[in-house]
Amino acid sequence: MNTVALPPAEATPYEIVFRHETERLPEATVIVPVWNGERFLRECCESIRQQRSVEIELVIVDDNSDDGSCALACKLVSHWRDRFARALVIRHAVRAGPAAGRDTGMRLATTQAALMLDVDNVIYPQCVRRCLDALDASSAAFVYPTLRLMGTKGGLQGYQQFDRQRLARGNYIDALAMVRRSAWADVGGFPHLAEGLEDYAFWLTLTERGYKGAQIPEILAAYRVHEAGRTALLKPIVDMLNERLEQAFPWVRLGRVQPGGNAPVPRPTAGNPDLFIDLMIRILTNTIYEDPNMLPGAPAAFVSSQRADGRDWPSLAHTMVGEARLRNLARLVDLTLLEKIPGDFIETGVWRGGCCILMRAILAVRCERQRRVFVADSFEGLPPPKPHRYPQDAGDQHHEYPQLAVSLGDVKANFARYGLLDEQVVFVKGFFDQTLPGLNAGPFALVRIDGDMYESTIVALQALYPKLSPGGFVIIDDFGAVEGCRLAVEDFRKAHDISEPMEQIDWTGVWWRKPATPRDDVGAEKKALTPTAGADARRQLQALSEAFDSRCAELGLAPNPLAFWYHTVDLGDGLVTPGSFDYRASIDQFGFPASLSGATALDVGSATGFFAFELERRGAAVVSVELPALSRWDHFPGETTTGIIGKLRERLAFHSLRPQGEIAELFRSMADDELYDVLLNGPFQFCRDRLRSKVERVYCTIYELEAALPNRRFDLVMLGDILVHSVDPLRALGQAAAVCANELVIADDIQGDDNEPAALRYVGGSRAESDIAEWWRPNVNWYRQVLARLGFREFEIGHSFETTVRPGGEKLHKRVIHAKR
Amino acid sequence: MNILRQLSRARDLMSRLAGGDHPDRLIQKGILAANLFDHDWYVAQHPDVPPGEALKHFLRTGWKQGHAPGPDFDAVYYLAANPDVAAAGVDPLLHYVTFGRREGRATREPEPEPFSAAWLRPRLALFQIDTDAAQKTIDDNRRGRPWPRLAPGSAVAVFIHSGSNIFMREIAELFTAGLVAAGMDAHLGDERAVLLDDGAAAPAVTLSVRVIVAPHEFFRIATNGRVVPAEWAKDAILLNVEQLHTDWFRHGLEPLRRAAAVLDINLASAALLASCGFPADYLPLGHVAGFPRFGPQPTLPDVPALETLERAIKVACPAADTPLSERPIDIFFIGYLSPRRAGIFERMAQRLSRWRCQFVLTDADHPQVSGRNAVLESEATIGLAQRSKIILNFHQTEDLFFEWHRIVLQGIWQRTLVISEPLAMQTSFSAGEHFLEVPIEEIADVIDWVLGTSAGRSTAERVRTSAYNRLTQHVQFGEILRSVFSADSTCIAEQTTR
Repeated sequence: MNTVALPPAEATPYEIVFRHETERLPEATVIVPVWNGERFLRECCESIRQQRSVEIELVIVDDNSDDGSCALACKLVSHWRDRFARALVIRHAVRAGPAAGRDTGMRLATTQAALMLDVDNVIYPQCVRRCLDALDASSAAFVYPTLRLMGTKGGLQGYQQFDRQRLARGNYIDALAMVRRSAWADVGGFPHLAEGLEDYAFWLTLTERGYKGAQIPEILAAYRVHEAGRTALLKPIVDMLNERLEQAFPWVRLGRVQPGGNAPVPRPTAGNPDLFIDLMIRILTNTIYEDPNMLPGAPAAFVSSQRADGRDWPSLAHTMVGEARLRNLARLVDLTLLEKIPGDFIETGVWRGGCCILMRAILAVRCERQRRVFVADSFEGLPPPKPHRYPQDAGDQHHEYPQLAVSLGDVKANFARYGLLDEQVVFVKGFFDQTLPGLNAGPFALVRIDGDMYESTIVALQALYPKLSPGGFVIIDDFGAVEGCRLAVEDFRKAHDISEPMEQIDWTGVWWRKPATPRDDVGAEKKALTPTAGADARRQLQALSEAFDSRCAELGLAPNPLAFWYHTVDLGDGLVTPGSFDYRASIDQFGFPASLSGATALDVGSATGFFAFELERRGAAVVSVELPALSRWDHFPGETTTGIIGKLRERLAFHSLRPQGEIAELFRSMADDELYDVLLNGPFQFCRDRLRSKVERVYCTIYELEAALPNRRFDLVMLGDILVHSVDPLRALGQAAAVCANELVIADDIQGDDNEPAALRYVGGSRAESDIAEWWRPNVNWYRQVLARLGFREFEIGHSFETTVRPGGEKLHKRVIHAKR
Repeated sequence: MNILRQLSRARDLMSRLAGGDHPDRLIQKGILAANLFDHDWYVAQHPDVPPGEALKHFLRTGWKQGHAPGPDFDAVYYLAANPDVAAAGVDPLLHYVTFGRREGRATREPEPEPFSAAWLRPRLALFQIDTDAAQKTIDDNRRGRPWPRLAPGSAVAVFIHSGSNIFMREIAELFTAGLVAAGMDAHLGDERAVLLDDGAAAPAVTLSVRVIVAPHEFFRIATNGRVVPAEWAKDAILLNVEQLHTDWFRHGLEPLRRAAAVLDINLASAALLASCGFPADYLPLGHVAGFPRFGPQPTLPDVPALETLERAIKVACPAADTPLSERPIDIFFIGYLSPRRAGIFERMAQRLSRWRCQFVLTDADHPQVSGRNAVLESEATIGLAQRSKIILNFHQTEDLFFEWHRIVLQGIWQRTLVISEPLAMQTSFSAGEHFLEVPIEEIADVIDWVLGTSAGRSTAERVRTSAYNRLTQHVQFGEILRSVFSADSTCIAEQTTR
């Protein structure tokens, strides 16, 4: 590796504003760089004046301060000049940083050794003498004493021995040290680097040249900590600087912050964002107001040690994982950001949402606006055990605890209480075996599994571990607490040959890190990517596809192998299309008249055409409306359809059962009109041909119905899952009403009850092109009022029913509204 | 939400009580169902109640007067732990039998986990201040138990883990030298003699009497990925040198359960182990004449931790009996810089800075292993002590302890004055006479007085000399060991005090 040397220091122009000379021979120099340090200057100079048993040469270098530092320095030094064998006050013509100040001082010094003393620190009376003796006793190029910390932090610092290897992992030696001028001259001064790291760079430069340092095992100075200053400001560019140092010194390794189980709680320092995270943790665990425990069988009193370890069930707090596991979570999330491990965050099993809220809070405080937090839960408590499939869960009683079921609304409300409910939070509702295997998300930087059972744990691991980025983290909450969970983790690790050590957080939590270099058995990875055998939806689709393919072969049919079968349509002859949406079983829920003989019907947005063909089967003369081209897909004002079409490509690849890598590539490389044919027109025409259907085809958007169907009125107009994709639902509905002579049927995810005021809820998110073009969810009363105004008098609103989307297994809630004139 | 529901239920209950079920009947049914009534206990608590009438008394009047049915129901605790009940103003027992029991609420303070800090502190506190109580507990526990006897000339194999802390190793060496001084044929080995190449542990029977020093490390630290199994402690003598409240100790309990005898260098710890039924005895450390490790160290090695020490100090060691004023270092401390110690040093830093200090502080609480990561080897530590006027001692945590190693081996043995914050009691040395025991906030003043005044200097001379005499004449390790393993040993402490 080629080293990239740091630039040598350049001399900064200066003027000497005060000079004091005597006949006495100074033994050591004290160099004090100052920039706007007026308030500290007196205390610092006082501590130099009080040095014992040593002749001092003092050089104060004012780095072009805006405050009265320079004048005060002159005044103090002049006042105390008899104490010094030689004293100078220097003023830089431009501001050049503390390293430049030290360099200027070094150039003007006349002794063999100089103590670097920042203006906000003070030295104890023996300091200079002891440093000089220590330097004399040793062969080191610089010596550094133990420091007492003052200001916003206490304790000691700099007591560790000089050790090149330790230095290679990060700086632990403050600039407050005595340096041999010969060594300084030999390496060409303090390297110029961003403020705050130049002392480290200087130690590295000296070490690189074969010099060493030595520790003085005495507390000789007090060092003021105020992280609000430059060290804190440095944070955002710390990675860049570390990279720079690693380039200059190949033996230095700074990139990895050790993910510790025991990093200290942040100390209160001004402007320290860690404090916010610390406070979030205290609030989330509610060690503040100390709500009682509601764990059945345990005392209700709040016990702080129980809460710290997450052993109780808080009656109010938003998490039950306790402080230790929250701190671990915070550290690991930070680490993924620091190390740029790509991906989102997910927790499976969220209870009141505390862990997810913390993750969202960290993203907020670290100004991370891209990554999202996935909140996966049934929001209905735990599933009953399935002992025939997961004998490890036999007798599990978690599902009997209503305390463990927290509704989606409650969790959302909790996010909102912190002001953290936005589009960076994604809720995944449903039991894990239904939602996780087909979850259209990833990669993840961190997966936190808190499912309490064998099933919930293994299903989550199987679905999410393959989507975890290399270098990402898995946290298992219940490893120590629930036997089934432990077995699931062990089974999974064994089956996937995972040998990364598990780190323990507390009595139950563990985590491990996925290796940064992906293993080369990509096959295994791919296999793991396909959801578990337990995913019924996928299995069903697989079976339908196989039956369809083989029946096609028998009948000598050759449909486009890439065709996307939106609906499952029975085409007769034992031929059934393998659709993602299968309404065959739930057709009665749509409430169509048994006979439509002699009636006319319009199906808007037909896709594969299930409803069009169904209405025709019931005797209606049917017109099917489809988009004329993908580019006509309704989109957000000011945006284009490019993003939507891109999403469609991704979704198509995902819905396909074929190997993901190549299929994704195929869909990516398709032209838009090809894609249109595969997605919308091709499958419909195939079905139409097979059924020898007379359904008439019209190509227009929902806003053009009236124009495209001049003077035509239909007895029945069907709008299935179309209004949600319409940017302007009112206009769309108006168009549908305009062509409707009698009955309008709307099937969609319609929410709200009779008591809820009419509302149109926006679900499109705030990020451009961020979803699959869903915009509005009107509630029941919105439909009632709008349809009444459009001239409909009779309403029939069906019950909500559920259908399962294949292959992902997502549950789709549907209600059907029949409105009649 | 929870509490509101409770409140309304309590109100329901009270209104039902007014007309319906009589509280006496509820109590009667509930108490019997919950099996809370303890007849003998109740009679003992209320001697005025005739034994045959106890249950009747309790059910008719006792519970209304706030009497407990038995030791398993603590009304005060129940109200404290269930603020909702307290707020509802319901009788705690009535609440328990009607609601609390079904809701699984606890009826009394749960027992803390054994050997957790909460469990240890009250138990150790007694023994830390009352040496007689400690000694009596040990003696009572030992009486009538089989105890290993070592006749002169017995072969004893002493073990210490090769990855043990350097201070533990020194104790193991001292222990071996003490056994030799007591007339035994003792040798020191490590776990590598136990972990055979075929993966098994060496059969214990082929070895002589085994003593394992620092079992918390011996049975825990892996060598080439293998750990000595706890079973190997069966019939062995274990010498515990770890403070009980550390995780290190708690995780090392398994071997202790199997040992023939457990010795502890801390009196209170030994008494606590005895009170738990371990075959435990107290083993104070002592002096072994001519023990080379702690002899004069004329030159100090050239190691990084001594890099800045003046050559003159390194190559000249003042004779042990010359006045302290000839020792070049004023104050010496070596040890792990725990957060507590960091706080103490921080507060004292400026005061101490006028004296010549040598604070060798280590970073993490993991073993400092000789030849590997130890900041200073034994010779250097002892050599520094011999060049220092004062050894400082602070506890690692808030828990009281008597740091034998620092106080006796580095301090008194090297004729260095020991100044410590208050210590746990032991029977070998006395505060004021053999060391100075001072509250932390006065330590800096005492140091200034000892180093800066003639009265202080002469006190320092007197204390360190009498301590050394006490150690060499009355606290001889050979004698201590002979008596602890002799056929008629009863009380070690008595013999050392005499």
